Amino acid sequence: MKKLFYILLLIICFGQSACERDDICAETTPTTPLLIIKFYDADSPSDPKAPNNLAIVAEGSIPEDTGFTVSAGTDSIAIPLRTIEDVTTYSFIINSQEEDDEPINVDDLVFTYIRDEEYVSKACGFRVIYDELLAELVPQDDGSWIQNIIIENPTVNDQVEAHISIFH
Amino acid sequence: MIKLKHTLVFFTSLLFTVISAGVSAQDIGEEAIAIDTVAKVPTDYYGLRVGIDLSKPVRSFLDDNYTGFEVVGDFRIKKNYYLAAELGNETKVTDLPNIENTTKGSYIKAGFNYNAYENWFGMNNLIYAGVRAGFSSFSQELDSYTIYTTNPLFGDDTRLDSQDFSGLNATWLELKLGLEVELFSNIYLGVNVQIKRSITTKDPDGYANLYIPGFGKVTEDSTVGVGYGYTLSYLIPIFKK
Repeated sequence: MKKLFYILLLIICFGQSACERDDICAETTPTTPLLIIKFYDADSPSDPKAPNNLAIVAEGSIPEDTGFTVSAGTDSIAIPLRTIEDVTTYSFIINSQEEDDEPINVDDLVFTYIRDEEYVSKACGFRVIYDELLAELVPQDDGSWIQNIIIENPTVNDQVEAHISIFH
Repeated sequence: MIKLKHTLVFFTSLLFTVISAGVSAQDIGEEAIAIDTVAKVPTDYYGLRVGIDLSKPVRSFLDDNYTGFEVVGDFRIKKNYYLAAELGNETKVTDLPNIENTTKGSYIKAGFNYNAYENWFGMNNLIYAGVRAGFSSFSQELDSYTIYTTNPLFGDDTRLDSQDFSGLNATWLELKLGLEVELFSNIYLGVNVQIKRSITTKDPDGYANLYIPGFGKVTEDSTVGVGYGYTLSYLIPIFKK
């Protein structure tokens, strides 16, 4: 009879460990990927070149027209693409600080893609992956600081390598 | 919900502890009694015991995300062996930060119990171990879900268009430990704990089973499920031995 009791205790302990939390999305889980852009020197296309005081502003962000600044010396960035539409427009603003010697210059980039939803897990819900990525450069009145854009990988389903190279 | 489950598990173990202590006390007197029972009077009841799992209506009342009902039954085939089955229906809303899902379905479990308890003369209680094969047929409704992103620049993207996934099923193997105490003549109160191992599941395309009626919550990276029950049943005596 004692044996039965011990087996029971064991089962109850086992039951407790089965209650571990699996409803929190771990940071390491691959969810909706960010678009990775790497900047290169237009004069010597194999050399990475960080844009000077780059600021990026997203159209349709919440709150409206917010974005982020890229810290000095950074030659690659990861930015989100919209998951509710097949198009995302960003303004890439170089020399964005007042103390910059070079004049400020704004180039708009329009990213288009197709979206696919994918189940991730109970904790993380679903994610969107992107395919057939295209980038269109829309220079503003002040001309364009970006000279060339190459799509390195039109399928954005991970964040391992750069999807786009920008030459300036 | 988890708190309620813990409370129930606590009371289950408490009840088992008390009864186990009572049982050890009885063991001492058993040999002395055995001498008195030489003249065999038939006191072992054979029959069909039917009842319901009380924990399911109670949980349905307390937990807004759950409704369930289960009918239980067993039939004594040998001195210590009982054919046993459970039949039930459950609806469970799984409300997670990024997913809200409703599972609906029915299940059947069938197998047998082995009574390990040597009753005192004239008593018909059980402390049993059992095995079951379980089968569940169910559907899931994905009520809402979030497109998870690590960068919330464009705000939350929560989709509310519900999707229906039907024709799902699962099978599992279940080990069960429990006891049945005869409260009044032919009325039994029982508690049990179950541990289950998933054998097959039919998952929806592009989605997963979050809950399986009769099996319980599905844990990712694990095929194990747990459960418990509090039963109230009535023995329809057919013959004595």
